[in-house]
Amino acid sequence: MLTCFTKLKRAWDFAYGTFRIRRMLLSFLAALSIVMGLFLLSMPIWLRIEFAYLYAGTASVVSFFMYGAFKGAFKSVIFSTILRRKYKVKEFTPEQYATFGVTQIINTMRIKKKVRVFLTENPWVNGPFTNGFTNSIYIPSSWVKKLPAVQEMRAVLGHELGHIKTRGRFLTELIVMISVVEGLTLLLGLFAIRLIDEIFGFSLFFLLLTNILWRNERRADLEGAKITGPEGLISVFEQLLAESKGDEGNETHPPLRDRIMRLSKPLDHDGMTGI
Amino acid sequence: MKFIDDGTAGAVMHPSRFKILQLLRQSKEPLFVEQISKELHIHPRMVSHHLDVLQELGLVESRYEVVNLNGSKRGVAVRMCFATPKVDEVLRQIRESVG
Repeated sequence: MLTCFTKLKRAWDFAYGTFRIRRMLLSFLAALSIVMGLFLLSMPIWLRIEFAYLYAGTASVVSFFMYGAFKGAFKSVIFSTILRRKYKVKEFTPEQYATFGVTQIINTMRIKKKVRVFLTENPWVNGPFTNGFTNSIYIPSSWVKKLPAVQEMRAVLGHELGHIKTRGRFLTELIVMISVVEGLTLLLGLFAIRLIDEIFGFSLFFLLLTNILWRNERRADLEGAKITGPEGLISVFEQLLAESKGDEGNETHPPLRDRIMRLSKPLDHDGMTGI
Repeated sequence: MKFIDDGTAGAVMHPSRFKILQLLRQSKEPLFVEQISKELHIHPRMVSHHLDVLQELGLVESRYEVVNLNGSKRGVAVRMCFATPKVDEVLRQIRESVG
């Protein structure tokens, strides 16, 4: 009994820890929603409901996977920005702002918003991030030791400021995506029952959200590299790659090798040398 | 474990920087960026970046010299780099911490 449980747990951990499997499952769910929607039309009403509940059960397992995938990202944002008092958050000192040339990067990027940089001790934050509301950048305190070189911290800040600069494009893409998903969901709603329709919309939303988030990361990489030069970011990614077990990316970030490859291209252009 | 606490050891453990440091330690004479780049198959700009970081941490020193490369008549100014004794101390502390 225990062995069976252990095997099941291992299988779950493997499936849960693998981005590709999570994505496959979600694609399968979206495709299945269309098939189920059309299939259920040919059934008597009482049987439709039975099948719909069976299908909803399967979908809830996938939802659980999705919740797990985004849990870390949600917690880091919520705990750092909204619940600042729970974990200590310390703003950069004027010396740190000057050392890393934050103002210089902001001016060169022509960002008109007031940006603040914080160091956080939140254990859920495993990397620097910026939230979409307050123009604040959060960096885990451990990263100050992890990146002792000024150039690399500047590159990381450049990337985060790239997010702030291109937030408009990200939001536009997000709105377009939500409109497309809603449109398709309404279309399927003409043929399928509500429950299946909703699951289809949910799966498609998360599938496309990953694509948009990956595009957003690549855009921020490039914006940062334009200002601070691509070397710093490549170096940071190489270090992260050496520390990580696998490199298949996740729901919010593309694989590191892919990002390094994209940033390596500008290395041969003299124009992108950074400030 | 001074160098582990201040992050120097972490910077040295970067795969490319570690290779560059090993090469500079093994080399009897200072090397320039192109030489390191060809030897380790790392882009020259990345080599330069890593050398900047290592120099900032005091693990590498560099000076500019004019050398005759590829039969150039007037010579080319290149950045000659060599490892400082601090490298040995950092590597010793890393070895000790790993056990």
